[in-house]
Amino acid sequence: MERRAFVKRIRDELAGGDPDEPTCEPTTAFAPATPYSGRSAEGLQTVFLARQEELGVMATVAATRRQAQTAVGQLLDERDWHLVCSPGISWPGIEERRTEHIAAADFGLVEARWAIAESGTIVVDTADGERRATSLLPPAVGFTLPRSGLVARLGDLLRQLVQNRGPLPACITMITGPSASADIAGVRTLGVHGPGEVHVWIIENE
Amino acid sequence: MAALAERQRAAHLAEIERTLGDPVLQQTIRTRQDNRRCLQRQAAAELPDWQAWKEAVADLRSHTLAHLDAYLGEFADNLERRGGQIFFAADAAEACDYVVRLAHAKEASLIVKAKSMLSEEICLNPALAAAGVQAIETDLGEFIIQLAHERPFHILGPASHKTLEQICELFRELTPEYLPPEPQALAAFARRYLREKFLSAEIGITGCNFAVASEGAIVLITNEGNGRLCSALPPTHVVLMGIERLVPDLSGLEPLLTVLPRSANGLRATTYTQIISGPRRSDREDGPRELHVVVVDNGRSRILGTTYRPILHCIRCGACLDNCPVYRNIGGHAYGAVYSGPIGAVLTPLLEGLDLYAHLPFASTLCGACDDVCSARIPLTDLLLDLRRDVVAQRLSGRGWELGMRGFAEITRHPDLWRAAVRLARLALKPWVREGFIRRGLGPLRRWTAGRDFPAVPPKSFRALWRRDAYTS
Repeated sequence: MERRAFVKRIRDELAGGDPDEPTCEPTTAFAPATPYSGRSAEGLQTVFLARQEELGVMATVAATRRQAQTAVGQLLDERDWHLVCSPGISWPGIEERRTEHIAAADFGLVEARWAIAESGTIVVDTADGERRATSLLPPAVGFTLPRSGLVARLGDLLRQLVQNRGPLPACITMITGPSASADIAGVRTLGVHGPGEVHVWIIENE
Repeated sequence: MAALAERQRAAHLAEIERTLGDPVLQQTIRTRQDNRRCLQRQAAAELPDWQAWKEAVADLRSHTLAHLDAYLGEFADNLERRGGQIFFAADAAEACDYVVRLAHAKEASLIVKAKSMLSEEICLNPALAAAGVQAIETDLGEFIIQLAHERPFHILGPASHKTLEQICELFRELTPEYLPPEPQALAAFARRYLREKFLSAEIGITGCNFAVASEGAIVLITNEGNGRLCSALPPTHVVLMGIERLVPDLSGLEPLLTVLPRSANGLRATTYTQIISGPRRSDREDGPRELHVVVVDNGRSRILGTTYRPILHCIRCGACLDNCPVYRNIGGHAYGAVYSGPIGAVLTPLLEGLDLYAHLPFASTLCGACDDVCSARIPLTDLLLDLRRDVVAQRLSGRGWELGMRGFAEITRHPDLWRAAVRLARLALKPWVREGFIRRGLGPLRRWTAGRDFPAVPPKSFRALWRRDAYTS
């Protein structure tokens, strides 16, 4: 159907609607208290770490970026993961394992910019040419996260997105724990389509 | 039309009969309902001001729908600015036709799909199949019911009625390898099987949980990650979106994404929430080269101008199904359409025609549990009552039923007539009473007892008991 006619049909129906139907203004003033508002970065980190544990995510804190690099390298050695996809990250230990074939990778490594403490959610986007498949196709995925990127709840993140203006990147993805499903007999299974194993390294001084 | 309506009603009753007679299915529905309800309550209790959050959702939905024409226009402009393509489909046929033509233009032989109730509603899969295009469902639940050739049993858990053994049997038909009846093993098989499809499909089709007008963006949430795969890997991404999915701006997502996962699965956040605005931007990133959004009306605008408008506030959390005593007993298939439970009992007659589904508004006890848990505070029982009134006003309930009800109303208005009628009924119905109920009635009673038991008239009336007890105490 042609756009003008389509929208007009809706307008006509609305005009013929119940005149008593209250037309509420959007509730931008709605600012509910949450248990996490106003916490320090350290406080948010505590909440975030607790959430990761509940979600079954292995999260650790590294004082510096270098420490995080060492921790990632140790994990790769321990697990004997040979193929890593990590567009844009060229750390020692990663370079010799790098693959461009994301579907065949053992592990995907992504630098996240933000995270939401309340729900334990990691936020990645395609702004820097980041590939969506990196945090999606491998069976295991890891995120580094600057502690300064922690916000209390979803609304804080949305407000940041609005403040940063400029058009949104093509895709923002919020990730909360491993890929999960309860579609098989109501039992929680992990890694159905996305990664079943998730690691997070919070970098304190960045 | 009348014959078709009668067939729908007969199928409805037959499905109820079948579900009630299947003890395994009964147990499955109950267990799932109890589990989900428990999780939902825990999640809601954790958030201070839960009712205020739901109020915010209701206000936001009401505001958006009141200005839907403007927001839809804004959304279309912004989507196009970001490089997306938009198509307006007045009905199911137009929507299916667009997707089929697109599939032909892309020479697509395989389409991967993420869960979309709208896709079920417009019967897209049969349309694609008729055009020689294979469409494979990738949400685990949808995948299972596609293999079983069934309708979704639940808005969120389409295969929530299937047992482990049944699922295992369905999967075994796909592979010569041995599959043990273990959830993790079956999930791992589905991952392997569907991964190939994701990597080779030319088109990915998803639904749309919300559409942000100010950004021209689509919000898509899934727990398994299949929505991400469908929207990231194939070169063309098609989004099916109902006209009512809009939200004015990003700030509107806060109440919606706070309430929806808690009401749906009892989660603080769904595993994956994507905000997609347009196709891929640069050669450095991946993602689809083309993004097509099909905005589908299919009877929705007709509802806008009526007192039933609040039903379009629905955000498809499924909480009304999980808290409904009727759904608990008759399950999802008895509703005879894509949407089941209280939301289905209201929405289906409005979308598909009250004449075809006049029986659905009566598939409710009006207990109000659905009103209490609704994420968008839709007055579902009020709407069910309004629909019942429409059924009577449009004379869809059958002549015998109408006369019977009118007679009953007349009798209740006259105490002497009532007493005489009760006495008469006690005697006249006696031969058919089995264990306090009449299960197979005669004449005008037959229509009633086809779906319910008719209680026998008790040996002593309330008035008689009252008189007796008043004398003795």
